[in-house]
Amino acid sequence: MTWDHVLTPAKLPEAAATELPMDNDAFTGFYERSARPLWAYLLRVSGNQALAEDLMQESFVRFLCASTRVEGEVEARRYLFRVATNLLRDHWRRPATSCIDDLPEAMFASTEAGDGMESQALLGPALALMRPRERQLLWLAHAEGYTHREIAEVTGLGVASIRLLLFRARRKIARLMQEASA
Amino acid sequence: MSLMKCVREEEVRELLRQGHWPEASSAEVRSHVDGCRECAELVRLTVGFRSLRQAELKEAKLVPPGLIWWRAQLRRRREAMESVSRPMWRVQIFAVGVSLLVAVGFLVWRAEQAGGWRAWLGGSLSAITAGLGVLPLVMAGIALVLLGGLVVWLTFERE
Repeated sequence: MTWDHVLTPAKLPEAAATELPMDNDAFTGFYERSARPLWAYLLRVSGNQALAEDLMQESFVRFLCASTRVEGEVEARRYLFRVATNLLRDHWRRPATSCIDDLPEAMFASTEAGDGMESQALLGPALALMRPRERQLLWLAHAEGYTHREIAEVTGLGVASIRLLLFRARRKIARLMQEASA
Repeated sequence: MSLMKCVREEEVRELLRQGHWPEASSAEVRSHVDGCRECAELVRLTVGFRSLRQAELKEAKLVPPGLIWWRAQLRRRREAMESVSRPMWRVQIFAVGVSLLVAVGFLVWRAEQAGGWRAWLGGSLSAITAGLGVLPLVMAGIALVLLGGLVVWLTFERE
């Protein structure tokens, strides 16, 4: 039975908590400060602008709807990145291939991530040749400045794994940049 | 693969994180970075990533925050509505089940007086058809079937 006509939003019990964790003004401020870094992260890791925009919007919606309460903007932003990372992982899991680490690197070669914008630099093209997981870790560590523990919180991986994966990724991108500059 | 790293890497990393590199770092640290492959690589990568990030922050095309806010409110309201209607749905199933049990129990209990029922029903039908004709009876039956169908449809609509 449809209850929409019986229970208008005003008649919903208080416990139903239709209120969002932030008021509109607070959210606007948080969005202005966090949306661009999040978009840059999603764009660099996914290599797809349309996908980055979709996932960014969905991340904010889920962040607002989440029952988890976070204290302070730093923690809120980290939580937002975690939501976005989970969405990215879900997106990669959707195709028939079960594990993103098994996919060939060529499949993830970033084609849309600001072509020409960083052609003067070696980092952009080198980053595009990395696996998504490596891009993710490198971006969080070097662009966002997260510690290993914070990256572990965002990605859900162990700190020891982060250390090893990041070490390998750093070596790999340094090698790619060296090869490109040679 | 060896994870051996420079003992000063953490110090350099912290300087980079706090934005103290290179201006606010000591000459000694700068000369160390010049001579250390690990630290030089860390600095090179971090500076590169930061400049890439800065460039992309300018490129970002964002939807208005009001739109996100509106979408979140809609979703939250829908979730709240679902959480409210879920127990009601269970109560409905329970009520239908109890009603059926009561009806069956009542019929079984009254089964022994079935002859009397039949006589009463037959008499009533004859009286109605004699007084009003068959048409109103058929119309009432159709209305009953339609209303019953509507109730069943409304009950199962959410599923």
